[in-house]
Amino acid sequence: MACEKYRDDDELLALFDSVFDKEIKDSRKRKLFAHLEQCHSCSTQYKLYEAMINGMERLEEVDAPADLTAGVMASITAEPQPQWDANPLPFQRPHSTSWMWAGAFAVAFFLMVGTFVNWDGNQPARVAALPPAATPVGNDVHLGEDRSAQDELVAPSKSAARVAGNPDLGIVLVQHQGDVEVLDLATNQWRAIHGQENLNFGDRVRTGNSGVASLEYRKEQVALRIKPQSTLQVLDKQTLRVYAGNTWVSVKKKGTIFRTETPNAIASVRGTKYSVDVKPLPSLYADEAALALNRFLNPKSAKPTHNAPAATANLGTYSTQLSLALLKSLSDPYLPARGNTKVNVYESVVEVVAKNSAGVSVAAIDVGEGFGSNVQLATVAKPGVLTENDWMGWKAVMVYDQDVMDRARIQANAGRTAPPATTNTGTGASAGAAILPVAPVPTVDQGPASSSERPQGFDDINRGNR
Amino acid sequence: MENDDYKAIKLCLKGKTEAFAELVEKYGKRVYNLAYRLTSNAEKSKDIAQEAFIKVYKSLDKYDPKYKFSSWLLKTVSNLCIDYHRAKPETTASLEVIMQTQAESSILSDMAIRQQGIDGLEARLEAKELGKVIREGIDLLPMDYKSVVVMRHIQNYSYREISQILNLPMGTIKARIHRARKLLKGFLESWLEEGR
Repeated sequence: MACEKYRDDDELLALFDSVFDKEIKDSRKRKLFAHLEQCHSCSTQYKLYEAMINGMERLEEVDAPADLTAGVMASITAEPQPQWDANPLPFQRPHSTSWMWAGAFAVAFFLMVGTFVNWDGNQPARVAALPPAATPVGNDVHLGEDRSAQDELVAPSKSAARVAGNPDLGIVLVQHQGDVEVLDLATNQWRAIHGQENLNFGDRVRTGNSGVASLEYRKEQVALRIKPQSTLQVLDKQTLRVYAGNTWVSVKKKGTIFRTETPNAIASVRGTKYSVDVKPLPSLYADEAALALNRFLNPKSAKPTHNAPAATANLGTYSTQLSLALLKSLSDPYLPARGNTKVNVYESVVEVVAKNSAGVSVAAIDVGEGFGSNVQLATVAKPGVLTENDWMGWKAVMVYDQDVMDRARIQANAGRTAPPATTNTGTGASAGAAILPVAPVPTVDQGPASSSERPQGFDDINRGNR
Repeated sequence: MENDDYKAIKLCLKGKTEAFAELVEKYGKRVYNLAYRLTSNAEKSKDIAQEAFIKVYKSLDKYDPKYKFSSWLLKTVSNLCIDYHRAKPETTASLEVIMQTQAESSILSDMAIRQQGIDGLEARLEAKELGKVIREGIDLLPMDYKSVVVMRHIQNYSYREISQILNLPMGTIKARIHRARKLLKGFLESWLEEGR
């Protein structure tokens, strides 16, 4: 670039964006325009950008076809009246549940694996919370990895049991052994699975210390073998999100493209076998998350930390991601009570366990939309005084690190190993997962319920992490 | 008014199907436009608009008045358009690919524009075909970017509204808008360079 001040095109365009979106501070705007006065190169860029945005806004809407309404009404009246649910679930949302809605809508199909010989079948059958990492931290997508003959997949059974409430979308948990659970959306509780089960869009499955399971995406002829200590979610008919643990994927049908997302990598593969590993984060991240959160909520009282966020600052990847995920989980309407909350933090996964008014444990597990970094906390107006609306507002502050996603996608598409978990582009700590020591499971235990003045769980988070 | 929408929905659920016509009338243009900009195919857009309304109608009992009916509707349209693009064989290269392959010429073009001066640029940008070029550029954007650009710049939704419609964090929407604009700017620069 000809301009010495703005060598980075992105920086300049981001400034232009803030002008056109009317989000720039006056002082900054004055400085920018003073610069544009003097800089021929940048002012030319600005003119071009301005013309482009004005040009887009001048594009007019076209009229809808005159017979659209008639067509819709004719179709509706021609068909039998839909069988509407007379008693819809409370909190039910248009498409799905709070956290699921964010996801895509998936069809998944699981192919069962014939044997579990090598799957730690001797471990005690106990459903565990997500376990600590036993191996170096990081995410890896191993493309083209083949396994032993014992891992050969068998043809899917055509008679998966239909589970009440779940449509047959071709996503079938065909076999399991040990502690394997599905998150029941109606009750927001993890429940053990029984026999074959159809999975629905957005469903999550987790395995405990000794749990293994096989899933099939039948239409796509994709088989997945979920190993112990894993948590994953079906996103759509071509996509699986792996939050933790190890999953082996076999894409059998020629031409099928299957995507596997981890918190910081996406692999799109066609007709191959590979495994996906996502290792839980060490407690350092949990501590950072807690500190970052605390600092934001109580800016005066919190101890400074190297990556503590200012109210509108960019944050380090993981601390922010975890903090927001945690808040998001707590804000979830499916969580009826937020007292006695226990929070387990894993890599991009936050599990919140609370007791409801009847004393029943309720678990929620979620991520901060994954892949996040460079987060701005601008949507919460008054730090330290969060209202229910603010809790909801937190859901809208994550910024995907598109560059990281793109790089991962490009590399994965090129058949190379996806990059390690070093996605921070914000200020502060850029703790690459690969350089961190392995530590026990990070657990943030918050003690008793908080006062009624603020959302429950709010005080707990702070108290528990000071 | 969203309250009116809810009233109409409740009437539908009580068996008064004709109440749904109000909703189709009210949102038909918005729905059709989104589909039209996302598919660039008038006939398909009509099908998608129709299908979106029918889908939503069949699930009216799932509607939660806490959320805007229009958001649900437009989300459905967006999903149907994504399905359409997935099903359709790729006939055109995406803008990302084009911009990648033209990286070198883009840089040259960029430099040329910078050297050309504002006056010359303004004259060219005022040319009538600018709108056409912008439309072409939007057509070539990847779907994720296209939907946010259309909603933001053509349908004039706020970031918050787009965030609600697509159920994505607002930051994601902003990031996508930024990248879409950047791609479009590159496209525009190439066009300017070609026409010199």
